[in-house]
Amino acid sequence: MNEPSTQSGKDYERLARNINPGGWAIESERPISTLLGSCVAVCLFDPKLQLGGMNHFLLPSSTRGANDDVDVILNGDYSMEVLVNALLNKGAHKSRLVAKAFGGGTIVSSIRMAIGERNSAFAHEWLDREGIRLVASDFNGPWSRKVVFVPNSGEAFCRRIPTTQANVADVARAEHEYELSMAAQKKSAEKKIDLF
Amino acid sequence: MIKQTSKREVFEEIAKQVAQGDLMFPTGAQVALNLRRALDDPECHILTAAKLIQAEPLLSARVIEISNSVAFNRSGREITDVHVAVSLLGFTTIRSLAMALVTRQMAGQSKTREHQEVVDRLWEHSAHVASLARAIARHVTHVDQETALFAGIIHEIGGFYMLSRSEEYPGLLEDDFSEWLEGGEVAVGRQVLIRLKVPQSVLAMMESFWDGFLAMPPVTLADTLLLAEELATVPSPLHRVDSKSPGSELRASIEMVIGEETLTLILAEAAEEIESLTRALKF
Repeated sequence: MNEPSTQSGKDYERLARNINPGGWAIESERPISTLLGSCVAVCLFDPKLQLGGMNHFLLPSSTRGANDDVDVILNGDYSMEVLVNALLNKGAHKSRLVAKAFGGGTIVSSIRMAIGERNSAFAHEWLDREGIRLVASDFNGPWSRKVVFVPNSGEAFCRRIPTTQANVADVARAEHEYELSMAAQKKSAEKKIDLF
Repeated sequence: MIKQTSKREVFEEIAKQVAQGDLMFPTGAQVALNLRRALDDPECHILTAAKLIQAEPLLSARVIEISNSVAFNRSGREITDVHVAVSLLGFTTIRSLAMALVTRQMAGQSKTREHQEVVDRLWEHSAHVASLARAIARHVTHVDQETALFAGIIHEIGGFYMLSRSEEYPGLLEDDFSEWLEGGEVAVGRQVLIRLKVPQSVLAMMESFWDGFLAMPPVTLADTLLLAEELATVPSPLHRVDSKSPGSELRASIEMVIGEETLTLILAEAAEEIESLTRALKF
C-alpha cells in the first residue's frame, strides 16, 4: 500500500464516514470507519487507482433448515462480491486488489465464540479462493474493534476495545438487530416462493 | 469497599493531586529518580555514571545482566564490570534502566500479598512489553530501538503510581479494573509523566498509544508500543475485566506482511533476543 501519511488513526476517525452491520462503502478520499464485534470488515484497495472500500458482514448463526449452510455462504459471498464489483465498476482491477481484514471477536459470551471465528475463517477462505492477497489482519479474541480505513492510501487502523466499555452493548445490539433482519429477509423470500 | 462508580472519582482525584504537584514518591523511587536526573546531566562523565550506578545495587545488577543479554551483547563475551557495561550500553540505555528502577520502585513497599502480586505482575508485563517493543523497533518498524525500550518501560507508570496510593483507598484493587481502563489509566499516567518531565515527544507518543489506533502494518513509535502490548503473552493485571465477560483466554490472531516477510516469522527469529532482555529487566 502507499506511503503512510502523517495523520493518526484518531485524526482519520474524526473525518470518517461510518458504516453499520451489513453496510459497505467505496470512497476516493474520505476515510471509512466501522465498529465490529463478532462481525468482520474487509478493506480492499487498488494501489494503482488509489481507491478502496470496506464492507461489514456477519454470517447468519442459525442452521435450522436443509439449505442453511448454502444460505450462510451466499450471505458472505454477497457481501464480498458487492464490494469487489463496485470497485471494478470504478475501474479497479481484481488482480491488483489487496485486502486488510478485522473482527470476529467474542464480546457477549464465550458460547458465541464460534460465530466470530466462523466469520474470520470465511474472510480468509473467500480471499484465498479469489486470489486476493490478505496483507494485514486482526481477528478474534475478547474485544470489539474500531476500524478506520483510508481509501486513497490503503492505510488501516484498528483499535481493540475491551469488553467492559459501554459501547460494547451498542455493538452487540446492532449486530443482533442485523442478524434478525437477515432472518426476516430470508423468511419473506421463502413466503414469496410459497406463492408460486 | 469502593463502589464501581466511585473508583472513577478516586482516579480523577489522584490525577488532580499529581497535576497540582502533589506527587508522593516512595523512598526507593525518589533515590532512583535522583540517579536518573544525575545521568540526564549532559556533563555527566562515564566514570561518574558508573559510580552512581554501583551505589545502587538493584540497578548495577540489571546493568550487568542487560549488558550480557543477547539483545546487547552479540559477541557473548561475559561482562562483569559496571564501567565496561556502561560503555557498552551507552547513556540512553542506562537512563532507560534508571527509569525502569523509578517505575519499579514507584509502587512502594508492599502492604498486602494482593498488592505485591499485582505490582510483580505489572512489572513482569512492563518488562515483556519493553523487550518486545525494542525487538519490533529493530526488526519491523525501524524506529529508534532505545526509545521503544524506554516507552515500554514507562507505559504502565501511572499504574505503578496508582498502586502506591491504593492503601489510602481500601477496595481499589478489588473486582475488575474497568474504571482504570476507561479513563483512569490516561488521567493518572499523563500527569505522572508530565511531573517526571519526560520529553515532549515521548508524551505525544503516549497520547497516541492511549488513543489505541494501531496502523496495520505498524509505522510509528506509538504503533510499535501498541503492537508490543497486543502481542504480549504476559497480560497487564490492570487489564482485568468483568469476570462475567468473555475471558482473556480467548486469543487473537494478528498478522501482517512487512516487506516480504510476515510478522510471525520476524518475531520468531527475534524470540531469543526478547527472552533475554525480558529476563534481564526483572528487578
